[in-house]
Amino acid sequence: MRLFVIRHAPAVEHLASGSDEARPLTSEGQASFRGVVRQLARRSVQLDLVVHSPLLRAIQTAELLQPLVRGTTRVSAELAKAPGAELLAELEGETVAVVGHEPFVGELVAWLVTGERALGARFPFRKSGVAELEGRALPGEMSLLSFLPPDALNT
Amino acid sequence: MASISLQPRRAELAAALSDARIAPDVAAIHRLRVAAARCDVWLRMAGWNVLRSDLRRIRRAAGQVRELDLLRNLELPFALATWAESEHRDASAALAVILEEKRTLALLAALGVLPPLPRSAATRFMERELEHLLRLRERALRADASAGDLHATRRALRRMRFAGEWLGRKRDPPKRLLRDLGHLNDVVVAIARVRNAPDREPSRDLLAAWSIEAKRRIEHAQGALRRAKLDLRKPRA
Repeated sequence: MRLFVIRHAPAVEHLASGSDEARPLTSEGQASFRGVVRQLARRSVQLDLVVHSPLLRAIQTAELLQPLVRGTTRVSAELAKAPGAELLAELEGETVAVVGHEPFVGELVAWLVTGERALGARFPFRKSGVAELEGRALPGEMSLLSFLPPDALNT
Repeated sequence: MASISLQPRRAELAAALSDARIAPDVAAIHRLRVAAARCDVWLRMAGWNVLRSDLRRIRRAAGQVRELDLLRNLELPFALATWAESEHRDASAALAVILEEKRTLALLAALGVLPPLPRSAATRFMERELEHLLRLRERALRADASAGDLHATRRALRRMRFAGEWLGRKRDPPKRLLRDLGHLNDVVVAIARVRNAPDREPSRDLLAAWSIEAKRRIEHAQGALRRAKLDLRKPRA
């Protein structure tokens, strides 16, 4: 499996309602993530599955990935918490993307690459950051192919 | 009203999901399908592609139960009736699993954070849907139109109806037309189901009779469609 682990694009910091779940992407965040998507498209990335968290900023980021989706999308609360076996069980297909939040996406990459979730801090994601992994979606069984901040992709 | 919030219909969907978990009878399944279809139309109006596949999963599973409800209410040979009951149990069990899944709860949570859509987006959707509907009608009125062509028209009519509700321009499509299109779809669904039954031999005469009935219903529905006024954008005078 080729797995793209993605942190959501930049979102507004606060809502008057106080809701963290409903914080939307900023217009700049949307524009910058469109650049990331264009770059992935240039690399002919086509996604069989996009799994995203139920928080608005992840939903919107997943929506921006639509031009790359040849399969389907799935909402999962497993991406709004520390990664576990239930999340890995949801990853099916040859080319998959997950859209989530820090620190969980860093922990996911650490878990899949090293087998140690606790090493998540060594894989710090910036917003709109993308890590590309390859291998079986099991702890310690994936290789990290690239780990790019958005400005490296957004050209 | 410059924007349209999903939240009242999301609450209806949550209630319908809960009802279908507790007592998945015909009425509960119907409410669930309608509530999910309304939310789906809102997502389409707002231009969301994500979450629609999560919703579609529920709609499909509920649709399977509904089709088998229809079938088992028909007069069927004993073996076929027994098979239909068994299929219904399986479909109900599959739906029950989906209703209990974390994915369904996550869908409700996700629908709960979507911002209202601008009214202008809903109006543009309505315009596009009307154009689409008129093209579908043209196809469905051809002499060689299939039941599928008429069903596509029925689905478009329902989308127009729900979109009209969202815009507060409630004007239902002609009831007779929807009824006739629905009757056609019922017999088409029954034929498809029985064709997939493991032992079709005892049903050969039944299938032949239903096929004749389907042709009659196609002509009937075409007549209703030809007479119907389909512009649902404005309230009936």
